[in-house]
Amino acid sequence: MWKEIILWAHAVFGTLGVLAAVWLFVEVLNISETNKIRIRYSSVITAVFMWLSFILAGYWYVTWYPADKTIILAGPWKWAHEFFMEVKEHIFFMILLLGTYLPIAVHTTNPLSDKRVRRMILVIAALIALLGLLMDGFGAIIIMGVKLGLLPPF
Amino acid sequence: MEEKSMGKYAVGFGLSAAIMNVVSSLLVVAKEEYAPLMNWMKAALGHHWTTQGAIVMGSFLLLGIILSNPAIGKKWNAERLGNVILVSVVLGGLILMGFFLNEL
Repeated sequence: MWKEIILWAHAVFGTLGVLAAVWLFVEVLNISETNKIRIRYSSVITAVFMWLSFILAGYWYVTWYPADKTIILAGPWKWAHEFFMEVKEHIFFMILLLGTYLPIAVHTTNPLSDKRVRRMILVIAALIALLGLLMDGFGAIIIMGVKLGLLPPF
Repeated sequence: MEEKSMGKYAVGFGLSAAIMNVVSSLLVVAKEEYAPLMNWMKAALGHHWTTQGAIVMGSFLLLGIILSNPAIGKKWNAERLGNVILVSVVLGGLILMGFFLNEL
């Protein structure tokens, strides 16, 4: 039961992290004195969601993934592990680095007065959102690898 | 005057994130290609991925503190830092994808 809950929760928090990054992106595009506080909140929320996703995904990966890995490697979509899982588990570190840096960048700069700071924050938020979506896609392929590995041979 | 909108922590931790994006990918290649390193990483914290996470995030914090130096901060502006971060993600991603594609 915990296996399924944690697997589900890591994807939910990752998706919420993507949504928070998109929220921040839109706020920065429309920056003014009135939404500065929301930009600060959304940067922290992005980081918190990504860390929650990372901790849950890491626990699941270390504890339960070896069984799924065996199934994938014995099935027809071996590359679901050999490429997609290998890349996914390591690209996530980039999301974590960017997600941790995002609130530092937002809280220690003045995006309202400098267009170049706004651009930098937009780049970071966009990278987090795009990498997060990439993780979702890779996760779907990995799940398919497990499903196909469980099917009887044709 | 252009650099005033960037604090020293924004520059220091931004550079640290960019460096660690690439170093993390290089560490993946190193551990996959050099068995003693992989074995050490497995033994250190029980799983190579857990050890990699601790190394990457620990180094990010340490490097960020070291690079949060006003002298370094004066040499950087947000445009340049944003470009470096973008390039580091693309480069780190290409290293990872290229390596594992080659391993198929």
